[in-house]
Amino acid sequence: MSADETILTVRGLEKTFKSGLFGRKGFQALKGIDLEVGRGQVFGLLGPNGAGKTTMVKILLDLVRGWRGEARVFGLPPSQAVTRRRVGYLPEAHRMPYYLTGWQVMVLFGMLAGRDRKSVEKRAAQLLDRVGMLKDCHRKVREYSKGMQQRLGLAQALVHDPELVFLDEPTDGVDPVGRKVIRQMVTELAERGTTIFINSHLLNEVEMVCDRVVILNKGLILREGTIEELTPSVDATRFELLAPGASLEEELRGVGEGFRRDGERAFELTVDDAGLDATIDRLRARGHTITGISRRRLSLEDAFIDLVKEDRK
Amino acid sequence: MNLTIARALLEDSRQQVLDNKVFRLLVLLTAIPILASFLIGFYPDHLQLLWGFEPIYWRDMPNFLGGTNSPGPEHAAAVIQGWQGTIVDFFAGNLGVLFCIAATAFFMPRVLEKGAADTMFSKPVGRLAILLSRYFAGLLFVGAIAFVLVFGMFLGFGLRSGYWDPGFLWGALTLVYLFGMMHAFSLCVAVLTRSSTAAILLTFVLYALSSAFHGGWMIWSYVDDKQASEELRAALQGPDAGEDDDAADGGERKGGDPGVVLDFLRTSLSVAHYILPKTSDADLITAKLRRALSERASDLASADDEIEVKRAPLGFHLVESTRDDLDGAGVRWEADSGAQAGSYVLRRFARPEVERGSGARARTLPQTGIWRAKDLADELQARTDLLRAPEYDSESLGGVRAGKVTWQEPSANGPRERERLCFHVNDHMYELDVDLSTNGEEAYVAGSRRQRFLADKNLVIGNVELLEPGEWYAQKFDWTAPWRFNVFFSIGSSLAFILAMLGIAWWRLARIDF
Repeated sequence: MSADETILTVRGLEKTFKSGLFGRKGFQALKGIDLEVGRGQVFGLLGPNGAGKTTMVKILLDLVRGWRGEARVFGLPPSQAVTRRRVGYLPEAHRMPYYLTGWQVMVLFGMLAGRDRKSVEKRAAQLLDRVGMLKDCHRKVREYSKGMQQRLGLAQALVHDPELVFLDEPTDGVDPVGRKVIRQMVTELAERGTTIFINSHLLNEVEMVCDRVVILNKGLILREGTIEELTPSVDATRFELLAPGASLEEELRGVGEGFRRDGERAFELTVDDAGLDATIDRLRARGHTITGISRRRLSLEDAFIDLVKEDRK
Repeated sequence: MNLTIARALLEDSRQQVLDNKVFRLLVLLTAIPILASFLIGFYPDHLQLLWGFEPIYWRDMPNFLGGTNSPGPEHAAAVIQGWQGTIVDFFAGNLGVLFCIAATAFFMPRVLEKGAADTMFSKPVGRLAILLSRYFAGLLFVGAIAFVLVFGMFLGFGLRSGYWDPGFLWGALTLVYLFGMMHAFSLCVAVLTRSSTAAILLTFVLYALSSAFHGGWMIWSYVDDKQASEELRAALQGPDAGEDDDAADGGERKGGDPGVVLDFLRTSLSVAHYILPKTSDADLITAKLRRALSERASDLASADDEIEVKRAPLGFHLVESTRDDLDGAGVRWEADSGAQAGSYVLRRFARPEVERGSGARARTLPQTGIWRAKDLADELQARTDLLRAPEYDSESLGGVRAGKVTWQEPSANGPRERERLCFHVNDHMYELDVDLSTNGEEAYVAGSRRQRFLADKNLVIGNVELLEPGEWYAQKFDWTAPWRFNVFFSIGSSLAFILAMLGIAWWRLARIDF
């Protein structure tokens, strides 16, 4: 298994949702998306509401039809049911069959994916244990809290050992401990060569687990790249001092640019490597005690907001 | 779809059904008639509640509860059949099916709800497979209840009352068949609207409409047939057919040709009838199947289907050597205890031409049963050896009017009760001679046996108009009837309706973006 192996290809993907009498009106959700995903990648799919993220995923799962362009999963068009044997999906705001127990849900969806009952039961026990649901798995789904349903949803998406997993808001309603477990599971899956698509509005979580990110807006890809590519380090350096005085900006005049106070004990300054030494020397000379120095990176959230704002302009 | 997926869908359907509260309620309701069939014993001369209670005799009971002056094993069986029909055909076949429609209408809309559909349809299962799994989940739902109800009652009546009628088991299949038609429509509406409320309401409307259209079509066809029959009778009997025959006042067709509006109505009614599922036929199909499985062959049936005698009079048997003598000396049933105890003889011959009227109004016409009986009464009046003078009367026999003459005459074995019934069917004259000893059984027992022998359901006369459209249709409806009244056509067109509904649902489902 290697990242070079392309398991998902999308070219010129367009989708218009028709409405009105005879479908004369419509909303174009995707306006020509191109994407290629290799095996073992953890892919973050970001975008504001209505950007087309879910539509793209649903096209790849054959849940949305009547699109134009090219889409292939494992080299086959999504309409071929056999592709979905190798795909797991956790939809946003999903509803598991309320009349079944958690265990029965796992068995049902595992068998619907074409796996025999014995192997499904074995895998179900492991997964339910992993997401912390083994104890409650014989209760009916209708008795579960939202967080429990989310954990069960994740487990069912993985019950048939898929090679490609789409997770739509996987940590929605899950407590911090559960979130950590989910993040660990995603990392483990990726290590085993499973490709994972994460669609989430919690950008810090995406930043923590994804190695590639696509940002969509209004049906188009705005940016695609690794987390590092999307969140370049900015030149600003953050200094923390034990007791900065009120005249700090005056004391640093002539060194670096863009002085900005950041709380009572810290400030930021844009300096190059030579400027960094000069700033340290100046501060030490003025008798300041430096407690910390760090290069600031643009967060994924900042990058996302900047890109979307820019696109709106 | 492989076997594993099919098994998963079946298991899912089973769980969905078992979880349904209405299903549990219906199972409880079905327990009532089943329990009753175990607790109430139906016996030839009495009925017994529970065990050890005083028996309640049929003779002491009101008619609407099955009371009769002529009890016997056949009467007990008829009462049980009546109960079975009321529970299975009326309650389960109407109210029960409507309940089941309401209970299963949410099956598909729940699958199509946002969140549920995404999960289900993201699996490698075709949309058609999921649609069919919901359809069969409904059939499983009703099939389970119907089986419990019918088989439970079958066992109850068999063990308690000794009444084993395997034909009754067809009732379960008919309930599923009836529900299958409605469920397909409900599923189609559910896919089109994604609303269980719409599915329930529109299915109720269809249920009412299909019955109404079928009823309207049946009455219209009946009227047409009656007009044709009147014309035939007028041609056969002439204007002076007799005092008991109202139709003999001429063959003039009333109303003339229908107008354009009537034509349009007629065509619309027919189209609607042929397209819609034949829900009203379900009971008749059950009856046909039941008869095919559980009824004995008729005692006598003419080759031209003009007359059929299902059973011999109680205590009598058909004399085999006379079986083919209907058009000769007559078919003879003799008392089991000996010919001198009594006999029934049925014969037929071509209707003779007789002179009616006098002078300028004299005409030659085919003889009617009424005229023949009256002529016999006149002849007997001339006899001086009779112990009781002949009496003329008329009565309905298998839907036709018969003239009846009764008298008492002496014989070497003592006085004989004699009776002759004359009736005509198309161009045949029929005579039934009853000859009973007055020394044997009590008169009322003999009388009740005679009544059972001559009852409509035992003596079936074909090719005549019956009084009620439902009975007329039931008589026409048969496996080998012309396609309008054919059982296979009824089943075939209903199955076509089911396929059409599922086809539309699938077409729509394949185009839904979840």
